[in-house]
Parts: sequence; C-alpha cells; structure tokens
Amino acid sequence: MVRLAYSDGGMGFGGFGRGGRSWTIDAPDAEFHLTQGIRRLTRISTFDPGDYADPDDVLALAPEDEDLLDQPFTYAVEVGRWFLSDEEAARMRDYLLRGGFLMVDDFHGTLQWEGFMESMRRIFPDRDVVEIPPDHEVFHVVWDLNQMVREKKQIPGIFPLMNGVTYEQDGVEPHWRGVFDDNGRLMVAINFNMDLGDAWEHADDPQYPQPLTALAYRFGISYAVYAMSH
Amino acid sequence: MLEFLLGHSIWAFRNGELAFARGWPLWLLIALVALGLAAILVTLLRRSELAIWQRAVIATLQFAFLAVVLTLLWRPVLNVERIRDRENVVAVVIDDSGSMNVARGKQASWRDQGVQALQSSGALKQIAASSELRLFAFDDRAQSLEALGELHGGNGATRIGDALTTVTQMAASVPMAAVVLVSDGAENGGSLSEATLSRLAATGVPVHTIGVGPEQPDNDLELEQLQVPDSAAAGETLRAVVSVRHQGQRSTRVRIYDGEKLIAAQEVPLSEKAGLSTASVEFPAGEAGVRDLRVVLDAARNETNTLNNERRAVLDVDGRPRSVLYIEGEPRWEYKFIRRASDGDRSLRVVSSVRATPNRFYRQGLKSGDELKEGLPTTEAELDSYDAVILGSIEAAAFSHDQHEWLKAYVDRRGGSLMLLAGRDGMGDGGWGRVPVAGVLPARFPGGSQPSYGTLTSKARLTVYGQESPIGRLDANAERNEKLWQEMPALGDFQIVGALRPGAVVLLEAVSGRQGAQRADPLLVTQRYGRGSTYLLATSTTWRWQMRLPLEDQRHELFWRQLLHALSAPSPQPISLQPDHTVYADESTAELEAQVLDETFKPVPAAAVSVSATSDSGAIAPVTIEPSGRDDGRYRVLLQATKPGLYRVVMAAKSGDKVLGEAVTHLRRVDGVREQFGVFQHRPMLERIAHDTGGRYWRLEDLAGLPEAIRYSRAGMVERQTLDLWIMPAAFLLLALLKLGEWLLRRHWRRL
Repeated sequence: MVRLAYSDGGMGFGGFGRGGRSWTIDAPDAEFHLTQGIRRLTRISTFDPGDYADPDDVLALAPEDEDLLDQPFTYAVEVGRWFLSDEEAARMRDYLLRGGFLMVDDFHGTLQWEGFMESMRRIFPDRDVVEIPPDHEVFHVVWDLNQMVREKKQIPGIFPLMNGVTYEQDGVEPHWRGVFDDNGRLMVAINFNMDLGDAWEHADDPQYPQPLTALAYRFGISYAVYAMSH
Repeated sequence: MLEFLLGHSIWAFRNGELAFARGWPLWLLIALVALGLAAILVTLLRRSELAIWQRAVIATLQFAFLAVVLTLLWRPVLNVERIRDRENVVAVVIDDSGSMNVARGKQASWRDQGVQALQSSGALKQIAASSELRLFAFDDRAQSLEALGELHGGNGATRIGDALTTVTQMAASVPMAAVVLVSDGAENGGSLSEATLSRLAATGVPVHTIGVGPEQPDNDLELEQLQVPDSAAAGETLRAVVSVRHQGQRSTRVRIYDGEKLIAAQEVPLSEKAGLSTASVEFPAGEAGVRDLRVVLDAARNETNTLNNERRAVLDVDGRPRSVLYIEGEPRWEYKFIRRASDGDRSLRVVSSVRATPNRFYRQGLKSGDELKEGLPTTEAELDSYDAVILGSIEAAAFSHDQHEWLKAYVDRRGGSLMLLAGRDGMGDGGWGRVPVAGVLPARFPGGSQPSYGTLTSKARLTVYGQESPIGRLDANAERNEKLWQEMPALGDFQIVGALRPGAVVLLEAVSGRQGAQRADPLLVTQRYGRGSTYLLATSTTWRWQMRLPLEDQRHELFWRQLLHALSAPSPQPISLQPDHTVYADESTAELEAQVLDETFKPVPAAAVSVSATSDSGAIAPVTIEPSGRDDGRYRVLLQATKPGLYRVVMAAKSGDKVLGEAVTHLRRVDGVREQFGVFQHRPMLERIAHDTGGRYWRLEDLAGLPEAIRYSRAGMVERQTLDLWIMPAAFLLLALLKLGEWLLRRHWRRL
C-alpha cells in the first residue's frame, strides 16, 4: 500500500511537521494500523511497518513517479483539496486503466466534492462517478458489508465525534462511490463524507469507538483484497 | 574405350575381387620389388652427371616399370560373380501413379519417358537377352504385366515401398538378379520407412533406380505441409502453420476458408532462395461445431499446377470452454493479472480459489456456488474435471494426503497439466519438494533452510525451444518476436527451481546481472510425465509486463492466454474419439481410437460402445469396433469412407443403463489430391534405395550401361569367373609409356 503524494496547488494543510501538505493527513498511523490489520486478518503480503528505520516514515509516491506502477493499492486522503495537473491526471489514468487501484478518503461536503471532482474529471473525462451498489463484489469479497452500506453507516473523523456528531460540513450522508473500467472493475473507491483514516489512526485511542474502527478495518481490508483479485 | 583398355567390363572391376593366380608367395614379390629398387638407386647414384632431382625422376620411372612387370609376372586376376545366362529373373517395376501420368504439354508423361528410354537405349532388349524379364506396374498397389503395353495409367497414390516389397518377395521362389525401378521417387503412401529399406536390403537383391522428371519443379508454388490443431475451444484464436515450397517467389497470399466462407487471409513472405518457407497464419476457431477448412495459396504467375496450392483440414470446435483451476495461497497482483488476461478469452474458464484470509478461500469464475465449496477440490473427480491446474504461493501443507495423491494421479493417469508458480509459499519454499507430486515436476527443488524465493531484477529471454513453442510466440515473425521479448519490462522476483530433470525443457530463461557478467536461470520449464505435463514458472511478477507497458500493448495477455491454452488444450476427456488424422487423401479406410473412462479417468469394465458415421452427402460409412484387449478402455475403430466427403462420427458409451457420454469427431476424405504434391523427381530418395540395396541410380541418358551392371549382380543364380588382368592393354600401354618417358627425359637432358 502506498500513499498518493498528490499536488494540492498550495491550498492544503496537513500533518504536523510535513510542510502542511494535505496528502500527509493521518500519516503514518493510519496506514501503520491498517497494514497491521491486513497482515493479521488476510494472507496478503505487505511491508512490515516495523521495518522502517524512522517510524514516522511514510511510503508515498507522486502520480508521476514510475514506481507507482509497481503498487497494487494506492491510498489518497483529503482529496477535496487535491489539484492534479494534466500530466499527473494522465499518469493516474494510465495507472488505473492498466490495473491499479485507488482508494480516496476523508473529504466531506459539497465544496470538497467539487474540489475532488475537478481533478477526477481530468483523470477520467469520459467516465462517471457512480454509487457502488451494496451487493457489489467489493462488499462481499471477505465480509458481507452490504447491510452497512444500505444503512449508510457513517465512519466519522475523531473531531466531529468529540463534538457529538458523525459528519463534517454538510456531508451528513455517507457515500460509497466508485469509478469503473470498461469491464466493470472498480478502479477508484471513494469514501465520501467519511474518514476511515481517522478510524485506523485512532484504533488505539479509547476515545474512538471500537465498533467504528472495526468497521473501517473491514472496509479497508475488503478494498485491498478486491484490488488484489479484480 | 575404357573397357578396351581394361580388357573387361567396368562392372567386373566394381564388383570383383583382386587376387594373384600364379601361386607364388606375395612376400617374394615384395622382396624382388625392394631389391629392384635398391639396384636402381645404387646404379643411379653413380651417374653423377645428373642432378639429384633428375636421378629421382628416372628412379621413379624405372621403379614403376619394374613393379608393373613383376606384378604382371605374379598373374593378377579378378574373381567375379556374374549371373548365369537365361537362368535369372530381372524385375522391371514401373511407377504408374498419378504424378507419372500427368501430361507434360508436348512431352510424353514421365512414365512414358522412362519406358521409351529403356527401350531406345537397348537396355530392355539386352536384359531380356540374358535374363527372364518380369514386368510390374504400381501406384498404391503392385500388379504384374505381360507387356509394357498393358500399362493403364493409374492415378492412385505412390507406394514404392509396398511395390518393392511385393516384387522382392518373389526372390524367395525364383532366382532374382535385380530389380529395375522406374519412378519419380515421390513416395506418398508412407510405405518407404527405414524398416522397409532394411528389409529390402536384407533380400540381397539390388534395386537399380531410374529417375524420371525434373529435379526441381518449374514455376510452382506448393503448400507442402499444413499444421492445424484438430480440436479447439469456441472463440479461440488458432494458428495454421504453412510450409510453402517455392521457386524464388517473394511472397504469396494465404487464405483460409471454412467451407466457402473466407475466415482469414495473410500475405506470407517467402525466402529469397527457392526452397521451403514456413509461416503461421492466425484464424478464429469460431463458434462450436465443425470447421471444414481449406487453406489456399494464391497461384504464381503462369503456374500450371495449382492443385497443390490447396490443402484441407478439419477442426472440431468444442462449445465447452477449457477450464483451468488456479489455487492461490495469497491475494497478490500476479493472481489478479492472470485472471484479467484470461477474461477476454471466452474459450478459457479460469476457476480460481484464493486464500484471502487464513481460513477462508475466495472463489472466482465459478459455474455454481457448489463448485470448490471448500476452497480446494474435495474429491478426485472434482479435481479431474479441470483441464489444467495452477498452484500459486500456497504451501503443500494446505493440502491433505489424499489431495496430494490426486494431484500426482491428475498428471500421471488423468493426463492433465499442472503448473507451479513462484512465491513465498510456492515451489520448494512451500514444501512441494517433499510431497508425491514432486516426482512428476521438471526440477528437484533445492533443499536447505535458505529461501529459494526473493527479489531479483531479471529479463525474460526465449530459449531455442521457447522460440518453437506457441507459448512464447508474441509475433509470427521470429525476428519481431525476439525483439518483442527483448523489450519486455524486467521482472521483479525469482525463485530457484533447482536441478532440472533429464526430460525437462526450458522455454524461458531469466537473465540477470550486469552486462558481461550475466547469468541465465530457468524461468519457464516443462516436462511430459505419464499422460500429462508439468510446468514451473519461477516468477510472480509477470504483471509488470502489463503495468509497465502501454495500455494497448497485449503482450501480457497474449503470453498468459497462450500459456493457459498450452496447459489445457492437450487435456483428454473421459469419453473421446480421435482419428489418426482428419484428412484422408486418396484413402478410404480411416482408423480412430476411442476411449471410455469414468469421471476419475479409470477404465469402465464392460462398457457398451457404439459408433456411427454419416457423410455430408448422406452416405453411411460401415464401422467396426475392436477393444484393445488390455482392459484399458481403449477401442480401435475402423471406418470405411466409401465416398469423398465430410464424415461425422459419433460414439456413444453406456454401462448397463447408465449413459456414460458421447464423443463426436469429423474427418474428410478427398480424392485425386495426393499425387499433385511433390511433383518432381525425388532423386535423393531414389539414390537412397539404390545405395541401401546395392544397386545404382541411373539417369535416363545413361541407361546403356544398365544391362552390364545387372550382369555382374551378386544376386540370383551366379557363376564365379576368373579374369586375367595381365592381358590388359592398359598394362602394356603403361609399360611402354614408362619406358618412353624415361627415354625422352634422358634425351632432353642429353644423358642417353
């Protein structure tokens, strides 16, 4: 799994000590915890976060990096603020159509959706973003998650939870959306109005509800298995 | 002239044995020659007025003279055997097949040219004067003739081996001195094998072959060979391999028809020099059913024989896609991309079971939810229902003892293909070297505690065998194919397969290391085992060929589809009916092999087997069925294709009231075709027959010497003769020349 180090046109804000870039949000704890979950619950061979000399290291690649083509699963956060150039969009289009998989997460409300779509339309000008039906294979590949999708079980960030709500901005209703290739393969999984990254990041935080963390793991792991099998 | 100088026939020298008739000891001759040489040298040493080289020349001439004289005094003779006059039979065998009887414009047919040469040279008359002449003609069978006028001009196939065997069998009852064969040597009945030649040689009767016809066809294109699979799955793309014999034409167009419908056409480049060029032409197998294929070459300009520009083939297309079971121990990109490569090929059904979590398999490509319910096959019949099996990165311990036994039997007895892929739990690292199936694999996995799998950057390279294999054929053109492989992105991992077994064939190598210090390791290895085959693919990063090449590039998909087809295509079915070939040219008897097995590919005792055959014209072909007698479920089926046409042959098998299954195949009988191919004189074949039997190859213009050659034959009733050689005019002429030479030299040197 690799984090996508996208361009944000200087409008981003991010993790402490990472230059304020949006793509660094929740890093590295989110992928550290998710990777451990993948290692424990599946047979997928992933890198061992403990192997890193600096625990704060983040495995991240820019869209134009050739090594992205060796990565089966790419993770991007705060994509409401991404701003891909035409070249970056073309590289992402190539990566996804050749067989790559992108999961985007942690963006909320109408404004951020528009920001996300502005670059997404550049990646796929001729493809629609659609709701992933609850009975789609990605929600059954390991666990049957269709009921959660049907009930629109929102996985929130930790700060809204502290404020007693599960949404941010006007993103009240969660959406599992996607972009498919010509053969019906899900290439881009879009967690809209949700923050799975926080659920993974705070898996060891008593303030974050364990059932939501467990559910976030299930979605993340399902995406990973799907990416390795479809 | 030569025979005048030698005093005897040249054939006496060829066949006779040299001896000395005087009876004096040979050592005395050698001693006298040596003494004479010493005397010459002593005498000449005193002649100091001559230079050394001049004395050496004189000594040589004098020594040669003395040696010849002394040899003649010992009375050299030739002991020869020659046939007794009027006591032997000579068989003249005329090829009366179709190719010998084709009209050649204003020229006589090749058969008539041969007969006329025998008569006009006087050879036939001379042979008849000393031996009894027996005449035979043959095409696909031999018959005796009373006179050459009875030649009827056959149009059947050419079976030289059968004809010679029939004729030489006479040698057991009559003294046969020789066989004279008049032919173009275009054997096409499959009767002239090495064994036949050995049997002919063993009779001791020399066969003199007379070649007729030009040794190179004139301005002719010929589709000499056509290789097309006889069965395929619906939707599969196939390759027809065509071998074109040509006379220097640059290219030709190959068209493939299914009946009258054109299904493929391709321009095929030909080699610069006249000879044989081979190319492959892709064509679609189409929907389920029979393809009555016609492969046609466009005629060359002014080509007269266009009948040999076309060949037929019959292809049975099975509506059932070939099924490949792929068991993977971990979700990984290689798994996904193998599945993805096969997705576009509807002739393949890849059923996969990937262990997604430690205790749960995720299945894809299923026919029903009951398929592979436990993730792995739970019965031998379930495993045997697949045409090929792939095992990925999954440890051997994940399988039970029974499942390991089934896997071994799957290859050995069922005839399936098994492939192991590289991975952290694959091959040797997964313990596959310590289970029953290890014995059927093409390599012995390395032992020890060191992992054999790891990251390594390498490039795949085709071996010589790989270049011939359809698996590695990304382009029909060999040069372009090699270039496409050279441009393939590097692989990222490698697994050491260990020591190859003697029958293993390496199709791909992994080339790693820097320029100048490169090493090549087996990457794709295969071997036959029992009725099936096994493969090892020592990488799991072929997905890089997809991810690192442009989206429209199809190399990864093509490689995997071809590999999956190579794995699954040879898979036998429990109820099968297989003709020994699908097109019977100028043949009416077709032989087929039927097999009746149960769902675990074991013979069914006392199965009731019925076969029926009808042609497209409605004719019903008589069929006979014979069990092999070995209780192996095999039957020999003989079918009489009474008329040309396409025959549909149906076999049904029952055991008691239980229907075991049905098999359908097709074959075609075509007439008047075989003799249109290879229409030129096959001189090497005729020379081989003559050489092996002790005869000689003759051209039409040399036939005057044939009667004398037969006279000195060692077969039949022979008499021994002793021919004196001292009376040879050549000997006296030589003596005179030696002395004359010495005299002239001495005179020239003024030292007489």
